[in-house]
Amino acid sequence: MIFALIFLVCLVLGVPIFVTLGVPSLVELVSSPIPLASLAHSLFDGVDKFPLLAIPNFVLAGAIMSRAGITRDIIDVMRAIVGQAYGGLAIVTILSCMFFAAISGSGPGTVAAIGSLLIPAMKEDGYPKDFGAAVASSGGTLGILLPPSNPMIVYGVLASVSIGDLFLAGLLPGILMGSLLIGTTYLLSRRNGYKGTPRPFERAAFIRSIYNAKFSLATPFVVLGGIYAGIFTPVEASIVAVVYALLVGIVIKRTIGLRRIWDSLGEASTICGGLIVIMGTAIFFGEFLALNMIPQRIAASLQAITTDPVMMLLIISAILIVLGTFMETLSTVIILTPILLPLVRQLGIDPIHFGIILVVTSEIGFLTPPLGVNLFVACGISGLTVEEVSRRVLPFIATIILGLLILIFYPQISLFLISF
Amino acid sequence: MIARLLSLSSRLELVLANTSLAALVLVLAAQIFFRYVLQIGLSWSEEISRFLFVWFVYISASLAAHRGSHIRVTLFARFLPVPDRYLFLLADAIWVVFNGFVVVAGLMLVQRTLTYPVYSTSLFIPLAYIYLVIPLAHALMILRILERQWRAWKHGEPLIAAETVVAEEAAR
Repeated sequence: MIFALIFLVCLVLGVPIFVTLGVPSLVELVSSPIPLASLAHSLFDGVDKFPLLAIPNFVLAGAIMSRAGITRDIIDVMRAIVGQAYGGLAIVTILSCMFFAAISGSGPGTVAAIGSLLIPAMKEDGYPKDFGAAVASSGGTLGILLPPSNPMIVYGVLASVSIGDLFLAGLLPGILMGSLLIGTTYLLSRRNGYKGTPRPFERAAFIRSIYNAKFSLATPFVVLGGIYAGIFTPVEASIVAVVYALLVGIVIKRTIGLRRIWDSLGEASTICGGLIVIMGTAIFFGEFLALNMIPQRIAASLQAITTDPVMMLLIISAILIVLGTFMETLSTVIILTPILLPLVRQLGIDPIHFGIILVVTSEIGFLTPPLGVNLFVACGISGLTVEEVSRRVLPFIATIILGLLILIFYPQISLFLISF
Repeated sequence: MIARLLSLSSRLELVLANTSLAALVLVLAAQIFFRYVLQIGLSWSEEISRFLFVWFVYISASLAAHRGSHIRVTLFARFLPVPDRYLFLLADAIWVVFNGFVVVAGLMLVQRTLTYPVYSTSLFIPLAYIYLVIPLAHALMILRILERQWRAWKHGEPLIAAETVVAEEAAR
């Protein structure tokens, strides 16, 4: 009881999440005969997990790719393919997000990489600025569903399930979600009369753009192909992504030097600094959580409502969507995995499937104010306020919820590829 | 001279974090090269990269404290009748106390592993040196929290990096 109370007080006061997880556990530790030194040991062990190494490397790879111009190449090709359709540039944005998501594991990172190039371009082409920002924020959510994915890495470590399997399981749901978002973008553009680029489709220009961008376009295949073919572990794939981006940037495109590499490192350090540290106290927190029987109690009270797996996933998703409005997504995954996993296993829900559902609800969390990180990034780029963009983002949130329902009712979509 | 030292110290975490991340990439790239190209498995690369990673995580956490970019829930603070600055002063006080405990716990762990030496499994590095990052980074973090609070009260600088500031940095 005291444990939960201290946790909530810290949370409400705005104590950083990693400390919020640590304080109640520390209080319990001090009032127990366990030596204090074990606190330091737990913090060390919590982050001393090999699969976590993939997180900063995927962030770094994304940072290098944008600086090397690989991201721009990808956008150019997408533009040559669908630029002239209704809402052409907006659809290009979603497609480019999908492509970038297959290299990067972060939602806001995807918005930053794609949005910083395409939000201004959409404005130039006559799209309303808030629509462009909304499309980029929504497309960016695919960053965590299409593998690689930072929340999947964290979930895999906490739930002891294969991260490679999670990456594979995310592929079809990611393509489904991307298609749904493209559909919504097309319908909105059609209704509002956002025309595509007037230039007709030119086969020669199209082939030229693909040829010019061949090394950039190959990036996702190098990264994901290695994992899916069973050659690389996710960590190795993240290193391959960094090295490949460096090779393309330094040798082939000659766009980056030491200065830009250093800046990319700095970006990765800054972004990861506030994030991964949460894993340190999370393990510590999880132990005391279990000691206080809190997961069991929550499981019992939820099971009093329903024992049907689909109903349970619907309830959990609703709770997660509400939490996602004011909690940062990765910390939500870290806090809730140890709480909900015993229940999920008890009901016979596949933990891989549950991981995908968790990631999709996190996508919604990226878009819902007051704390919607993707909105913040898009606002930073476009200079709009969160209120302006969040109104435009509503149809996209509805779309993702539709996708979430489809995935809950048809677990085969997540589980099909790993069943082989 | 003092100004130079100060500006150097303000970049301390950034330089350390970037360097350990770069080293980590190099070590693992070497591992992949040896395994897939030369067909030689390296025994030490995974361990050293894990240690570099732990150092990276905690040093960059201090970097995040310096920049005010740690993740917190700020929603409720808006609804409480107390001004934000007092609330966050209390929040940061809790943070400092927690870190104080971690520093003590970390030093105890380091001391224990110095008295009864424990070595890493493949490189036989005394673990005490690796554990050192826990008290070190958390002590550094305390200084950064105090520095940020001081600047907030003295110069009215924002205590928590405005979300848009973080976003702009990511977008740059």
